[in-house]
Amino acid sequence: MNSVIELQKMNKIYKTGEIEVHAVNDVSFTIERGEFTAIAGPSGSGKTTLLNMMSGLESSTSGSVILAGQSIAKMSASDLSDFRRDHIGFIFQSYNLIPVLSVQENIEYIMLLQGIPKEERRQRVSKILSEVGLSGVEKRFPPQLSGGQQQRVAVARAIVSHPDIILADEPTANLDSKSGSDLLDMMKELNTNRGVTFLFSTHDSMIMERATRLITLHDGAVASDVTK
Amino acid sequence: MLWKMAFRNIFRQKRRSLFTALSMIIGFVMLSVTMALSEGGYGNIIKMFTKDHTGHVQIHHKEYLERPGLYRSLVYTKKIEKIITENREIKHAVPRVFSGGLAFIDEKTTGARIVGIQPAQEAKATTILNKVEKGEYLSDHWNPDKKAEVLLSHGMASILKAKVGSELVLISQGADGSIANDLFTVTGIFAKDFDTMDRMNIYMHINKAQEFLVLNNKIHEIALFLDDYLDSTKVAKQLKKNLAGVESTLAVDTWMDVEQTFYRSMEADKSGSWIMNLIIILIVGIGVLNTVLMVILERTREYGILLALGSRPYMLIGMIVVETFILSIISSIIGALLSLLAIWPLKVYGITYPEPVSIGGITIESINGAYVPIAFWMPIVVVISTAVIVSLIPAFKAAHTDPVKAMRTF
Ligand SMILES: Nc1ncnc2c1ncn2[C@@H]1O[C@H](COP(=O)(O)OP(=O)(O)OP(=O)(O)O)[C@@H](O)[C@H]1O
Ligand SMILES: [Mg+2]
Repeated sequence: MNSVIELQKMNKIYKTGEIEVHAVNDVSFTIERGEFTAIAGPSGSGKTTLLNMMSGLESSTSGSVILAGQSIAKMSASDLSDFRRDHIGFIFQSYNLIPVLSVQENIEYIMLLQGIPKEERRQRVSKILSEVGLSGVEKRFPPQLSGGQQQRVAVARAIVSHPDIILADEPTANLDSKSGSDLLDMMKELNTNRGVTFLFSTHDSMIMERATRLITLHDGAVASDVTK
Repeated sequence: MLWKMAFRNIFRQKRRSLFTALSMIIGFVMLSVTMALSEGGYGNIIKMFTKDHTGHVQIHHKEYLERPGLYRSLVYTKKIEKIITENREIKHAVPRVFSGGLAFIDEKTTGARIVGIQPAQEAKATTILNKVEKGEYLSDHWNPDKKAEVLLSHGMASILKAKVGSELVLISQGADGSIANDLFTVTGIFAKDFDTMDRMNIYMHINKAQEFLVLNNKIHEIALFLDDYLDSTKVAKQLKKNLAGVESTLAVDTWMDVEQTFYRSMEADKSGSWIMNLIIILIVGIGVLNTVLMVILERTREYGILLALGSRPYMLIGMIVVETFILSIISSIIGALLSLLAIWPLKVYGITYPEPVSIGGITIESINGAYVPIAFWMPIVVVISTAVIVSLIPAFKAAHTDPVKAMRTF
């Protein structure tokens, strides 16, 4: 068994007053280790909601998530928080970084929570920075970096603690196409060389093209699931 | 990391931090000045009052304070003297004799309170020497063969129309039951006194008083003067313990027991300043709450990310509280420095009341501030604890940030 995440009949219904929105509708699929998967779909099709349920940030109305071999449904809030920290790397659309922390400190943050000793943290940070092509910016603060650089730091932060999967919600949406393309190249390299598992949600055709698997959502349901 | 983040967050929104700090600084200085005036001012009044004549601790016959009387006396023995001199906090110890009587000058007459003192010792311990307005102070040497000298209080002198050199007749009762009467010379007259109780005082040499009242070597009071009036209770307790084995008929009391009316009315007056405390807590509280709430609203997304990355809610609470804590410490330091400056003119020039105020028989025309420790540590405690407690509200709010919602709204 080499699956990282297993989704079974996931549903999410939002109730706002009288109105019910079926944001995610009976979604089941499995992500294998080493995949480079994109979830595509129009705005409001439930991509973000689905990603949030996978990480346990958001509860599901029904269905189950098995992450790294464990069902997250019955975990307490603090266990889930630790579990998420140890198994999932996050990349958000923008403003990923904590502005009062330097690049180095941003990347260190999760390792710090995990109690990894300082020496090792420093080593891993400089190694990962060279891998994402940002050697030398350790001491800088996020506002002093371009959007593309910031997203690279976010990628570095996400993978530095060796999680099982990186969940990236539209990571290129706020970047120009050149920076977006570079960022994607970098992630693809990490995927090939290191076997890091990526799962994107995206509108970006570039990501869809380069993904090794493309899942399309429509009105919260899986419309197609193609492995290239 | 938590401290680092908290510290950097302070300098992130400088204007906002400045505003928060300002409300804390203003609160600090207000409280400090009020405290310096009330505590320091009252401290001055207490010093003045005790230095005037009461002293800080008094030793009497155990029944004297309740029912003063000629017979409720004590002998100032060598043992007592030794115990007193052994106590390093006691600077002066003066013996006194008291009784009532009638004073006559020509056809004028009035009730008198006879006070027998050791002139030189009394002058060293109290301000009595400064109060002599006309004539001379009592000479320390008493010659039984000469007509004895007396000092009259201002009120008494004006009733009797006394002048320096006037001849005065005093009638009283001796301890042996005999009628005591004698002729005296007015050697000096006091200036108008702020203590209304002193209006009837007539001072003479303690040996003369003992002879006049047939007291032999007995006295009524030993007034003790310390360096710091705040030690009164401590010293009284020590003396009580040390004297217990020597003399069972003695009572040791502090000025607070001796001058209860004065002490109580002053305490009552002081309690009014708690309203000031409340106002300051409100100023600091609202200032902090307001800005910290705004800050938290702006940082919602950041808190969402921190939580998504695996930070525990208590870490966010800690971060926000520490941020306010650091800011309140900085504000306290600045506040303390400003207070040092602000109290200075109050100490030097004081505040003059539009109308003289009477507290427990003492008339006060002006009040001076003082650099008392409480004027600093109290604001520190109030400002820091208010800031920290108030910041808990927004901190808990931040800790309950829903990362999903935080990330969807930006
Ligand atoms: N908290 C919420 N309350 C009510 N409805 C919600 C909430 N969050 C999301 N929705 C609804 O759920 C549906 C799916 O939203 P979601 O954000 O998952 O879509 P998406 O595919 O990520 O869209 P986008 O491409 O714009 O990011 C939408 O119709 C949205 O309005
Ligand atoms: Mg979305």
